[in-house]
Amino acid sequence: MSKVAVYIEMKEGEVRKQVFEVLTFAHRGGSDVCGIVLEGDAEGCKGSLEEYGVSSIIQVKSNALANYDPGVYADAAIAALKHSGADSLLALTSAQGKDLLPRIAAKLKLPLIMDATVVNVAESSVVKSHFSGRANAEISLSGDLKLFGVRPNSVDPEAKAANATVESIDVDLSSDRRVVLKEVVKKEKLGKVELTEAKIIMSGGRAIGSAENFSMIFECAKHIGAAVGASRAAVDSGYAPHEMQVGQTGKTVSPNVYIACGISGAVQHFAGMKTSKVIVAINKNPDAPIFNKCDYGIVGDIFDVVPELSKVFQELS
Amino acid sequence: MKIYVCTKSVADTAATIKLVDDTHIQEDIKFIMNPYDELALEEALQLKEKAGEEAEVILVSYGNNSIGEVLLQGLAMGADRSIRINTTNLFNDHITIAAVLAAAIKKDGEPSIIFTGQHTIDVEGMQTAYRIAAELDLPIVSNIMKFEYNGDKVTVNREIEGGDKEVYEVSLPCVIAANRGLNEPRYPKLPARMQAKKKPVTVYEIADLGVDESSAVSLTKFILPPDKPPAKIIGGSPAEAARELVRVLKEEVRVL
Repeated sequence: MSKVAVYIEMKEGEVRKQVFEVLTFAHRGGSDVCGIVLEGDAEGCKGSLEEYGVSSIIQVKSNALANYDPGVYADAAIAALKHSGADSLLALTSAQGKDLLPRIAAKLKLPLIMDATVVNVAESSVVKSHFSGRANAEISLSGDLKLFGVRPNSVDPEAKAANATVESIDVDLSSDRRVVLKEVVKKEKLGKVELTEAKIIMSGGRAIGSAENFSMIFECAKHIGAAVGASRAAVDSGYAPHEMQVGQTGKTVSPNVYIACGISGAVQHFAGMKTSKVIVAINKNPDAPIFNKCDYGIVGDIFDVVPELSKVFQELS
Repeated sequence: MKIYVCTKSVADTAATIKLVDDTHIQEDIKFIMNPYDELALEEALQLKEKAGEEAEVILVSYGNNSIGEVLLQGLAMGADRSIRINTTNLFNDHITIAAVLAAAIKKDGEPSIIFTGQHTIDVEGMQTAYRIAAELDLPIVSNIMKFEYNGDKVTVNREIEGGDKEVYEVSLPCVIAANRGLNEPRYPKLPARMQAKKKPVTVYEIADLGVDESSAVSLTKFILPPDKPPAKIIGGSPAEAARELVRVLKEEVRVL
């Protein structure tokens, strides 16, 4: 039977939630699933991985893995991948996955598709967005070993019970001294929820009018655990930092609900959020293009509607 | 000092994508320089201004006929010359794309820095920069929002998640993949466009470069998303509309 390896990305000592989505694609075809753990403790996450079809875990032990070093992590993943005998490797298209998978693919000259929204491991095929969501492409990969990056929130996790073995391997790892990580600068968090992981997102556009007014969106979002995004117009006007930008040259998100507040709906913004399950627009201009692209619309001033929405959300929570 | 900028011409962000058949799009649309590559070029030009006269900025592009216009734009922005490699296939395997770009650079000269965009907005492959680096055995850092040149090395900031940044020191030569936030690309002035036409263009065919084309990844078919039905507009006072919206989201579509 074919074997599929999945890179188990950790966050604050636990398996990152979206990894269960990746595992869902991995176990769907009936393949054996092998989890590759580079950081944290494999025994500690065994239980949760077993619920999603993982039947073996390979943990790479090395002091070199204590802190993220791109080259070292790639080499460690390669060692585990080869040890596993898998013919596919899946990982999340997260910030870490975006750095790790291409490094592995480049080093071994393997085919790689990033940000797939559907992965069919048995057939080595994927569906992924092209032209910022204006088309989907069905792509097939061939070769003895194929790599797949999975876009967060692409599938509802499906459980599959398994019993997992845990194996530790020692790997000699040395860092590439040409690239040295000097420091990690932590930004004071604007909200608790990461945009690309959020199930609910509220975004503000140019109509917000000032950086201070964004607090109205944060206040409303807080009640339902939503992340807060911004349009390029809001970012360019200095109302929000770039890391909040959703759209073609910002983040691509696919939450269950995307609430666009005072966003006119440029094609480029739509490109970053069109795969949201439900899109809601609040805008005082009834002719705003966003109303052609959303599922539900409220024609009204955001400064009237958002505070009301905030009250209803507060009742819910 | 040779500074290379790998760029791709991509379908304009506003262009409507139509299909000729399963695997080909209509190419009579506007093509533009990939926006992330514009940032890469701008950074290269700023570096040249800092490094002085002996620095040279060279554009490298692998693409269809539309790259002529894109290279001209890059030359008008200030690049010194360009290298183009022709293909008719808009959807090449990334293994091939990187091998072609790396081979063209190798044939041309010794790079000090290779800049490119962190991904292209057409196929969203997110890997070419890494593969170019591997082909040439150079260090690479992607997602760069800040770049500082200090002689034999560079210091870069790379965005990770939640606005956190990793600061790397990278020795030259290296590959740097640009993210938005790095700079604001300049607009070429009209006289610069006229001068750009006189700048040297080297044309290579893929056969000149000795690259074996990979077919490990192949496009099976495009599927255009269906048109969205018109939005349901929720009426009433702000308070009523807010309450009704939450009811719909919670009870009808069950997403809250």
